[in-house]
Amino acid sequence: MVAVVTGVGLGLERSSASLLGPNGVLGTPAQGQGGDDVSVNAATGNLIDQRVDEILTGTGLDDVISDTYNSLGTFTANDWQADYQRAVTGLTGTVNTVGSTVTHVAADGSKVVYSWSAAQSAYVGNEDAGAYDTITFNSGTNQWTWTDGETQLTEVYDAANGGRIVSSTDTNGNALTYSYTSGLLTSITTTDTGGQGTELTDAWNLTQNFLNSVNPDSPPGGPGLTDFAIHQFAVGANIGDAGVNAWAFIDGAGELAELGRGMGLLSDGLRASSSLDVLTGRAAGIDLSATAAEAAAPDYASSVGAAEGAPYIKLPSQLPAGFDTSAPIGRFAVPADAVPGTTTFGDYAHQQIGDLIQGAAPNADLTLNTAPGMKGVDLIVGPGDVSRIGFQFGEIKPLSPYGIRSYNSQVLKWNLPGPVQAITYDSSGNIYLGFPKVK
Amino acid sequence: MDARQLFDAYRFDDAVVAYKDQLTKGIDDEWANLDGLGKALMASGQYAEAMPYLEKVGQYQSNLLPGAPGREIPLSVCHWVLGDREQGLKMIRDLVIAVRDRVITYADLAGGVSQGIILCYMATTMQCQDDIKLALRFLTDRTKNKLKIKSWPGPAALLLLGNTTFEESVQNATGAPELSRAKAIANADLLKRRQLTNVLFAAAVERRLAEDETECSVYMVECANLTNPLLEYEWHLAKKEASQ
Repeated sequence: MVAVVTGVGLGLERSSASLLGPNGVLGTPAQGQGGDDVSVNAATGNLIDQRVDEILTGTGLDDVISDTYNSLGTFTANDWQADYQRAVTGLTGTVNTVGSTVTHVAADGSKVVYSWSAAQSAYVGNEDAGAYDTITFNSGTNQWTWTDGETQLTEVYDAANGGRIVSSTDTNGNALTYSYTSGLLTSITTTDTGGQGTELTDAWNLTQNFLNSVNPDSPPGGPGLTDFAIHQFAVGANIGDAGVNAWAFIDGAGELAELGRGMGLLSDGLRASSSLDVLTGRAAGIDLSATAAEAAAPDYASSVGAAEGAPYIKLPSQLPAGFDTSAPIGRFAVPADAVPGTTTFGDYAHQQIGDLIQGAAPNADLTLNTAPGMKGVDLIVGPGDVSRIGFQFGEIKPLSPYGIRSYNSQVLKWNLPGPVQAITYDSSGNIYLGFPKVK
Repeated sequence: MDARQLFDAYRFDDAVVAYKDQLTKGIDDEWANLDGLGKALMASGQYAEAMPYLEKVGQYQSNLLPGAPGREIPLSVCHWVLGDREQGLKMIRDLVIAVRDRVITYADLAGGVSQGIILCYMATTMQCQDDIKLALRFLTDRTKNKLKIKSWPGPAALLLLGNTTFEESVQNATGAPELSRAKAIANADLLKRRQLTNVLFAAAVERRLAEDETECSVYMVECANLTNPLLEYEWHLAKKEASQ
């Protein structure tokens, strides 16, 4: 079922669903087993698809990672936005003076314009539900503080960095802190500063590329399907398997073309299909087809001493100084009949990479998960051999948004005592460290 | 040279001293030193001394990650070489069963062929028919995964089960079908030496299964005469046999 709402702008913050509650919604947004909430704004035609991906529970605020698709959105290239991409931006006029405004981009993409109120010495927004929210600017720290009128929850945004979120704090002082590296979100930390002065901290195990997984570029090959669709797969779903339970396609124009679930397909009103062949064929095409990294991958084999055309790998401990880690560290041969994106291809890649690692460090004690994809990290290196290889735990994933999401989800779940090295592969058999250039 | 470099240079006695020194002085990671010391002691033939370290590291690894294999294979080999064959057999049997039942989910790249072949060797040597059946069934199951069985030591299982010839296996391991050339290649290449060790030991076990002790002995001696392959623990079993 899809819910019908009405209102202005993107997301649901300013819609009838937010302002009027259940009376402002026709139908129910819950869609299928994947946890998506799908709504259509009857006034604008905007299609809204929301989904909670991961939750880190802490004392006070919980860290909830969710995504929202707005078909009319412009905030990102593909109209998807993660909740941590909320921001305070778009100052007009002179800050803290009458007539100036600033825009709060909410978690669901809703944009609410706040106007300066001399009486309240704050920017005030009155377009969404509940008591008026306010925004204040601290010129000393160059930060905006947004205060929810209803709950008094505050969020701090960094004006020096595009107005990105820095922290979120409830009235008891429990906080979420957002950390960035090279402009990309790397961790979200829950902190409980209790009366005893103790601090409990849990952190998401995010890679620097995590943000990219929800902010992919347009497909490099022009019109067609992109690997972005994988982002909407349920965590742990195997691409190409009959068990795939949710997917979405973005066409070359960056528009949502289809939503799919299980064997049957859900149309967003634009198109519908029910062919398993379409599902599996496209899933196979989605996985790794022409990612930006693959298209641009230079052949670094010679620079790391590998023969031309031969399978090879250079381990983290063996890479030359200054090696560009966005380039492949190796490659394996891909049989002509291999179908990237299938479980078979994934199993093959696991085995090839395992063999290559062992070959590159024949004096290292290496064990491989006998049931990859089932549970547990893929590779374990004996404690005495970690320096020979450069990591203790290795996880092999496709170089794709799905790979990143699966990696992040699993690493968080495993809670291993040391870092897990992501080793990724593309459909041409190139091997990488981490998830370089994945869009 | 640090302890690891000494080990890699096959200076095992020196590596033992260096690892102990590093442990005392707190140089490098403690578990790395303990793991290295256990291996170095074993490589230098000090099996009894190696066991406490292997046990400690095995426990550490098992606690670290459910399903991790610990150090059961080298410990089993130590027991065997030191004369406690029953315990050696029991440990390797338990490991095979644990991998079969997916209690242990990590194994060699072929899905656990190493312990399968060692169990087959120990069971055949002790003429334990139930364990021989267990080992052969386990190895046969490994061969059903056509992808994994290509990874080493998978081809050794194919040889033991009669699915490939000795010459084919030697060629697969080293690139040369003749044993004399293969040995020369293997002596200069650790990975190929590990693979040739797998082949020679599997060939010996296959011959023992066939009750051809003469040929079994030939393969055991060939295996034992290879330079220590560092991580193929059946080499210690072959060395023990060859010395008897």
